[in-house]
Amino acid sequence: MIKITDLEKMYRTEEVETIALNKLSLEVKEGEFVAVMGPSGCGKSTLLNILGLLDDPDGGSFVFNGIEVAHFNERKRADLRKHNIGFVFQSFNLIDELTVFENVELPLIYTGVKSADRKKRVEEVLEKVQIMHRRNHYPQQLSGGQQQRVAVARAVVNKPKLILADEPTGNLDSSNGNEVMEMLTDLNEQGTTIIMVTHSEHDARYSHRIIRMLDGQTVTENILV
Amino acid sequence: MFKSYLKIAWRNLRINKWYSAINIIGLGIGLASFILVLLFLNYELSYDKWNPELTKIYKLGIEDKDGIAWNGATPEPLGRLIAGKYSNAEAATRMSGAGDYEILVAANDKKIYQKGITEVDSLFFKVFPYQLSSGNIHTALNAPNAAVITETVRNKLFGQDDPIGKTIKLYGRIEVVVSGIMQSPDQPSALNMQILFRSPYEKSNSHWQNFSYQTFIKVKNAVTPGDLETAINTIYYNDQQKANNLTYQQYLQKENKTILFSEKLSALHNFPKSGGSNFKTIVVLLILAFLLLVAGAVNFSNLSIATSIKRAKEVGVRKVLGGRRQQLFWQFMGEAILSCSLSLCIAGMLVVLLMPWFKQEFSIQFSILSGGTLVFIAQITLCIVTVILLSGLYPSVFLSRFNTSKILKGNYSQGKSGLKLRNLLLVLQFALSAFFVFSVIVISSQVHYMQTKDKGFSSAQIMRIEAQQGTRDDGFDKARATLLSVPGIELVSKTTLVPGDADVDTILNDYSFNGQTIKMTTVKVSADYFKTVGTPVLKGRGFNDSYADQNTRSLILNETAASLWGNQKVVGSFVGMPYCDSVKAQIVGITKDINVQDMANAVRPIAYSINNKACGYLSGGALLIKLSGGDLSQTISNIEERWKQIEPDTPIRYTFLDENFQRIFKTYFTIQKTISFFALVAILISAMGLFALTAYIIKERTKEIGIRKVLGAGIGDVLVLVGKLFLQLIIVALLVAIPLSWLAASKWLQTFAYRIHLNWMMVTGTVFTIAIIVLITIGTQAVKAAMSNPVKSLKTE
Repeated sequence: MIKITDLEKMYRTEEVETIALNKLSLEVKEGEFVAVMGPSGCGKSTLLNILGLLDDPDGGSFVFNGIEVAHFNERKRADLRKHNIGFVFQSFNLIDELTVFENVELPLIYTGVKSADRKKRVEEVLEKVQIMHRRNHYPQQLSGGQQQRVAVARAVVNKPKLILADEPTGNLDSSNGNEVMEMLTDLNEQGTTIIMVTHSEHDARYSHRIIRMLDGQTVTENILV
Repeated sequence: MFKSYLKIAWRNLRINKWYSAINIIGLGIGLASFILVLLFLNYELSYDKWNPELTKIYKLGIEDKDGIAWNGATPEPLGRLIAGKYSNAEAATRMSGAGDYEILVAANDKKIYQKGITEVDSLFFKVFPYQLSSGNIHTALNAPNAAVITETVRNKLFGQDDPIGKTIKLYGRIEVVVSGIMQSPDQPSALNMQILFRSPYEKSNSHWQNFSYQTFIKVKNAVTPGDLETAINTIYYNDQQKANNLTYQQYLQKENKTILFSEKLSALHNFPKSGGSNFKTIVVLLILAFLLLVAGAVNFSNLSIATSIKRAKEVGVRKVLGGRRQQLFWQFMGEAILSCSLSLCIAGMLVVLLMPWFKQEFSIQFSILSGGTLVFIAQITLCIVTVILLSGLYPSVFLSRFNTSKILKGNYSQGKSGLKLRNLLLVLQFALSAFFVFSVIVISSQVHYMQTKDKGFSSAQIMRIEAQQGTRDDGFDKARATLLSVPGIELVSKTTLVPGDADVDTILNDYSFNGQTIKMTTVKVSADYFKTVGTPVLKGRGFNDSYADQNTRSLILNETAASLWGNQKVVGSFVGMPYCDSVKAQIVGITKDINVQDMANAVRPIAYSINNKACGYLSGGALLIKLSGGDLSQTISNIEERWKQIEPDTPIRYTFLDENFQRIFKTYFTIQKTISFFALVAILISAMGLFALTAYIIKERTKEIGIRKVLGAGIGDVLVLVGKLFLQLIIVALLVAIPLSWLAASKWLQTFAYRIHLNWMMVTGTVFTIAIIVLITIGTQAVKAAMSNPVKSLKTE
């Protein structure tokens, strides 16, 4: 599903040039659950941003579903993204001005789903993450665990082929964290590919494969399954 | 999608209630001011546009080496000459109107005073496209005593009766017969025509020396002003000016020449070649109102950028979920559109509320659509689109451009890149406020100066009575004696130049002294005039009952006239009055200058004399009565009673000089009020903007302020912390605004002959005012932030 070769990304400020990704190569097959680990600043999040088509690489190749996307412009990236990729963030990133229902509905609006269909699909997915009773609440009115469940619901409502999770349990206590990890495992079992960045060895154990990064390169791979 | 935008726009308005209200109300006030002035401009521009035929009408005038002669009037036969010889002339007419001067009009037993009485010739309707609702337009003015009246005059004089064939009496002596009823145009005209009549003296008035008429011609085909003027001048030169066998072209090379010029009727109101117009004032007001509008729009832009840090996350999330930049752009534009629409609603309400006041202040009668419905809708649309672009474009581009991956990592530093623009906009707003504050100070000082400056006479307790020419000339002694018998009247006098009158005679007459010509305005008075108005005689003596004084053998000059003599002896010297009298008159005294008008015009050199028969006949003027204290209303009712003996046919009309002067100053009061209102709006808008901005900055820095307080900072320190962010900007704003305001103010002051001098106190006043406003705006919030419990703010993470 994903094949990246010699991927490069640099950040420049006035004084220094930081290499975030240094000729990194990686392949992820459809249906895999991959955890990416490594110390702060090793390039995990940069990798995730590029995989999520939020950022473009400075060099190398990125083939997504058989299409070379490394040189896509923003508009093309946005189109590809909204149909194929769901995101879960450490800080949830729900829009404060929208209700639970409206937050989850948003990706469907952007992909042009009709209103009646949207309602059905949002309700379905809210049922699934057991937050239906809170559908008209605003994010601030929910606990952290509940907010992350909404975020997961929002990530999957469009039935994406790939979910990118950036420390999804980082702001949660262990019981809420485990709940989210169970949800991701369920999704994976239903066929969704998941790539998750995490600091937690405990969470990483839910995946099939752990990629460890250092200084913008992969150093080891542990196959768990 | 659209619904979703609208929803979030509305929720954002509600969540940021205060900021939204600030935005919307500020912009609403700015819009309302702009719309009002725009309506005023539309109204002024709609003058003489009520019929397409009007574009073919030109007014003719004569210009010589001294400028436009005779206040724009022309010799009586000029129109006939041009119409007869200029092939492109369709028709010409001449008229002599009393304008805004009220004339006594009587029909049956009804007597009214009416403006717009105009003497015309039989060709009037060949030139002007008025319509008659009754009578035949082709023959209505054929009879030598015909008159055409408007519906308004008909209602006043005859009610619903048919006036055709009925006699009306004008000026108490001219009898004319109504032959038609004219429809007043539904749009304004520079020519106020209420009664058109043909004079019984038409024949004797018709000669080239009679400069009492305005001449209008109508052309067949459109013509450039240059071609028209060449054509009519050639005709005029060959017929009237030709001398020494010079050709017209050769004549043009001469220094001393008299030539004709033309003015389009439709431009007469706004761009007259002689006299002034409101147009410049309105354009300046429109520019100022537009700046206010920009200031209001800028607030929106500014606050949007200020809140962008908060919105950044939303932008990021929306982008991650597939929102395109374009979609986000329109989402933010949608918010601007929603706010601006609400502002427009508020502006609409304000306009409706303020309209009566505005109309009264500027003495105009216009409605919202007086400039034409479509034009107005187009203007408002253009205006609101501009405002939307001004307020929404930058924030929309700015917000939709945020880099997603950085924002989602919690890096909101991009939100700060708008800081420069935000600061620039704040500088603009405060520069505008400072400009207005300075203007208000200058205008108020000048108005105060004009009101309190020694006018050279005392206007207190002086009654001005309108009187017929006969009462002022032959009948004066009798009238004076009759009035003096009323208890409470101290003095009765007359003058042809009444201080405080809106229209004053500005013609200069030639006087000769030692072979040189001295130009002075002739004013005819009675012996008691100077005593009545309390003007001191500085040198020589005042008038008395001697034969010489009573028969134009003695002159009294004002100071300005006396200064024309230079170092030569004035009092006692003899002055010739060419074109008028063969005997010289002696100057017997010099009086203090009297400012008969506002301070815009310098005092003219004046030669006072008595007796209107002997030399330099002057019409116009009034009786002046000096009242002593006591029961004023009793005195006035006694005067009214006694007046019936003096002029039995004309009801008394009187005013007081005090009030007349206030009326003259009204224009300045209006400008003062308008600019003060603008200043208030500008200050409100900038203060609101600054208030919201400060609130945001304090909110952003709540934690920092908390930490500082824990470490021992006091209220003063916090105030300085917040204040110094803006101090620089305010200083820049003042540095920009003060030189510009100074320049504008001195330009404005130059239109006054008597004016104040700009000084540093005015600058200090401006700086002080702005400083106070800034201090209050920032201070209240800084103090609140500084007083809050730091434990609370540190917990907010």
